[in-house]
Amino acid sequence: MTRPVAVIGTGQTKYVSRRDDKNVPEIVREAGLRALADAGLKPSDVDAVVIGSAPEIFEGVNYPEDWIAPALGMCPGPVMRVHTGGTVGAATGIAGFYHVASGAYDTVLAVAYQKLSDGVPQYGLSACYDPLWDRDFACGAPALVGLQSRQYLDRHAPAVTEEHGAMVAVKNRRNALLNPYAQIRREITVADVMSSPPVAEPLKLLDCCPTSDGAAAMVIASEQTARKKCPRPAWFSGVGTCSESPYVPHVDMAYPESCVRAAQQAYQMAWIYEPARELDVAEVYEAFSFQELIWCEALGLCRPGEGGKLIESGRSDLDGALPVNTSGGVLSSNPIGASAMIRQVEAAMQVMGRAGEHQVDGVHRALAHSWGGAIQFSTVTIFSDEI
Amino acid sequence: MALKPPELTYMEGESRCDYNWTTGEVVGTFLAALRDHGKMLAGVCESCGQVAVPPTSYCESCGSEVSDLREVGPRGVVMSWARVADDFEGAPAEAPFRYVLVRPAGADTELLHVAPDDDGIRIGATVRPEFRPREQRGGAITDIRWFVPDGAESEGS
Repeated sequence: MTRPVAVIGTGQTKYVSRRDDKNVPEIVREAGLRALADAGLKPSDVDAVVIGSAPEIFEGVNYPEDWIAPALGMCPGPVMRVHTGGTVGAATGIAGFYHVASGAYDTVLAVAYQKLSDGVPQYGLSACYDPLWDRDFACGAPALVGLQSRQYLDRHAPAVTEEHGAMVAVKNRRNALLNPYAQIRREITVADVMSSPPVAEPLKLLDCCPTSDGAAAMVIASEQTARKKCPRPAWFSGVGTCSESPYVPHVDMAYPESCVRAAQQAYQMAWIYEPARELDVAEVYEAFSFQELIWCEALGLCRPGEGGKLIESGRSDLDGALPVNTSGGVLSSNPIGASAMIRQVEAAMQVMGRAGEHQVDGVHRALAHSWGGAIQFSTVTIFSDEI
Repeated sequence: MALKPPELTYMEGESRCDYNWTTGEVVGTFLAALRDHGKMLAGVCESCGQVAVPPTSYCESCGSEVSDLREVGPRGVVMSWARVADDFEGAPAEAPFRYVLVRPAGADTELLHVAPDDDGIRIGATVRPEFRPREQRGGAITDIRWFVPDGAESEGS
């Protein structure tokens, strides 16, 4: 086991489809300085920085970490960039955790960002595929998740239907109304979703996330610093990561093994035996509506095939027994490289009691999940209010 | 001097790059078989026996070496599909069309491809590849134009 490590401050930028006023390093700086302020620290208190973003092709700048690090105010100093597909934001938080848990550093700033408006997102997504076969199909995210969603719906029909996906979108957009950082803050109905234009059936427009510019940041610290600076730290109690075959067709997309394993690893570390009962909040990476149900099943928050029952029951609503995506989720804001960290930020904020209008009462343990790549990267991070 | 909002909020740029991706022996053989023989080859793992198409020289299931190739298909089963209604830049076919995951007969894995927008394309349906004319093939997965319904449903999936 590692030494205790906690998140003691978080920062985010307001997510929008296009930031006209700041360039990439400036946006990252905005989130980083907010996280430091939230932690009651200055840039000079930071021992090392970990930077995460999705592939360079999105903004068209190779090794952006050298462009960005100085904007965080602690250069010269240790800087590392990580990347793991769509899970990069969470991998960044987890790398920050490793930096401190190892004993090598005391206080680390982890930042993740994306400025999708600088480039052409769907091209970037298609270029992530193996050039030897998949790339010719330009099967960007909606088509890939269309295949995933179809497989899921077909496997569990009639217990799970397209309407259940619509209910997820409705719930998360409603939650976003209470999150001042969320990009899309507009209530929708199931009928709105069902009648929205098809994108990659069964996905319709309102089943899909937006593309966003934005950044998120976390200050991660040792127990000594956490106890000094933070009244209610969010302790890393469980961490799990897993990657399976990167070749898109070899994964059981409706119940990915990498997600099940990452969850098992995290639950084991956190001594959680019944996640559905022991967790108080879950943030899952639902870039598309059906994914929320798929992840809840693979994470053990409900049984396989019962995703429809879960969303219908109200259990995952903000005032339900296990609120899912209290932030409004990826369906409301999606700066790709930051999106997985935003799940961690929200989970940490819920434990720290800093989630403002979308704070759930009595949160002791919160889970943050992410997926990425060709549905083969998975991470699970669990925060707790006690070591 | 104090800043005021600039006029030049954007700089345009473009990045274009040519590549020659090395295929390796196994993939090179697979692509040549598509081009020259209109056949799909799968790799058979010498350790766990997984039959993977398209093949890699290492088993993605157990990590062992793979050098044995075997023909699979031509027919296969649809494992999933997604319908694209509108054209987009770089699309692999004219809309409306369907993406499909097809598991060729004899294989343990699926491959990603496209299909016409036909109701015969549904999970469990049998499909077969339609190859492009020989002179249009260049040794790529797109030497198969698409997978089309083959009539009778496969039994079980």
